[in-house]
Amino acid sequence: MMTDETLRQALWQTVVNDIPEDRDLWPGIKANVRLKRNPIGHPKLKLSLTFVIVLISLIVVATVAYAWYRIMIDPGLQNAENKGLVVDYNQTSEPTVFAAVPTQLAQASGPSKTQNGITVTLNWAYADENRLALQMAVEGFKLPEGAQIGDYICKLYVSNNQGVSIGSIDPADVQVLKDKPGQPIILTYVSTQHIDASRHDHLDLSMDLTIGPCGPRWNYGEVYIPDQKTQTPTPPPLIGNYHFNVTVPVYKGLTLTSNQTLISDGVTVRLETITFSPSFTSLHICFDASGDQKFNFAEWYPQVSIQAGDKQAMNLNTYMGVTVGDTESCDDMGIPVPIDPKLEPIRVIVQKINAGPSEPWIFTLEVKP
Amino acid sequence: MNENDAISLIKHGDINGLEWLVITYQIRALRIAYLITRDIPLAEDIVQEAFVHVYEIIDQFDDRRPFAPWFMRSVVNSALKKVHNQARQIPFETKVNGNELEILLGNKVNSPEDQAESSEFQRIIWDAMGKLTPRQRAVIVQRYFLEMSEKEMSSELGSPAGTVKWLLNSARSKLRTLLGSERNNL
Repeated sequence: MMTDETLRQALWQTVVNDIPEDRDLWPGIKANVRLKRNPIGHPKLKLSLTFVIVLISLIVVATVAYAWYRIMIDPGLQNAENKGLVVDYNQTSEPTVFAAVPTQLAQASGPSKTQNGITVTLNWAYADENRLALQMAVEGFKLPEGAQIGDYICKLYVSNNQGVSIGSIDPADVQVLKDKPGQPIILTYVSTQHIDASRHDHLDLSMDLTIGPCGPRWNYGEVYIPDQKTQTPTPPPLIGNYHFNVTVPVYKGLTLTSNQTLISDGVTVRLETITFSPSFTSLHICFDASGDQKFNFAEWYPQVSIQAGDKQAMNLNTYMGVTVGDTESCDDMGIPVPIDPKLEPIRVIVQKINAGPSEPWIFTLEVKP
Repeated sequence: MNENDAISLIKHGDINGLEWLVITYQIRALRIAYLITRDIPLAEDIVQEAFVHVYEIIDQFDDRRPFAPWFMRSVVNSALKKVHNQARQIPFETKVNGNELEILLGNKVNSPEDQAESSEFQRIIWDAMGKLTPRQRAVIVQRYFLEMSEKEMSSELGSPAGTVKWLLNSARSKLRTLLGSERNNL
């Protein structure tokens, strides 16, 4: 007999499978809110020729200064910066492959290294075994009335021939420097994934940033992925696609292998590895529920924290990947904070949350370097 | 922090309040949007936009009322609007094999929990949902997922109670037909 309750549960279970608890929209929402907080102004002053010349001179001088402007969005990247590991590029994009144009979208007075007076610069980039981060500056772009920055500055598309999967990235942080000439838009991109530094001591990246208007959700570069080609036509006219080829060194981290296990309520938790890198701390942890305890990963959503020495425990808030097997699920997760592995002991605390924040179930594992 | 604290923070321009709301409600909102749109990237776009919209209009929100119903209503409405804009309606065509469903419902599984957790059963329900119009999916979502009464749905949708009742009944009737069993009491 099909009851209301059966239908309700079936609906619920279907979407639980397709949309697990570890989806996190916050980075994208935060970036968009920051855009709302810092709208680009639309100056309507009519400037005299002399004033324009002086202004352009100031902009050129100022460009050199603020091209080095650095925004580090989390403690991990700040640590990499402090250690001198972040590589400055100050590299202007290659000329756009097409610029179908709307010149009214460009500010006439901006520096004009690329078409339409819009300059896209790679300020810096950084990579370690846990993540890739980089910062772009878009200068001289005049946003049409009523549009949002995300409508025009599309996702950054990053590819390489080294087998490191990166793909398209939303900005993790967007700031509009309204007090700077050209009102540059500073976009910080962070892609979190494992990069095996023993195999890749550097990444040769090919990057495309499209100044739109953007398509439904794809960047210019992505329409050339064969399996997406047919469903994502390039939305004309675009201002252009800005391309970069860049080599970024990959800094090796320290990976400790633990393989400690703890069993409770029929569930085995195994901490396999912890990787300490200059900008990030990650761990690989597996949950085995082949015993009596029924295991449903979507509802068995782990909250994990890490504590080093007598420092305060920190929740791991970044999910890097989940592997679900028949009886075991493994998570890669981390936190954008550097942790000194010399601070003994390192504790990893796993809490069980079963369809809600009730009855936390805590493991404590110790890892000594 | 609780919901009132979070909303108060947002009203004072503190983005941490919004982060609390996102962490608390994003998954439920995503699932609701997904049930209507059947497209995960589109559902993510809808929920992101809905939260950004919350940040923009939070001053208009009466914080004596619970946030979740107000927010979920906006997600349902946005999802409906997007699906209509994209003309992604799937025509009402084939029926799911009734015998297949009866076997699933009658013999293989016993409790509602077991039925719901059967992957084959979920696929059939999912396929049947896909053959409803977005509007019908929305009322099903409101009734079964948000557990709203017809009176609440009427209020949320701004439609007369009779219209909501008709929508819900037509959706149920169509689902019943799609599921191919006259004996199923939806």
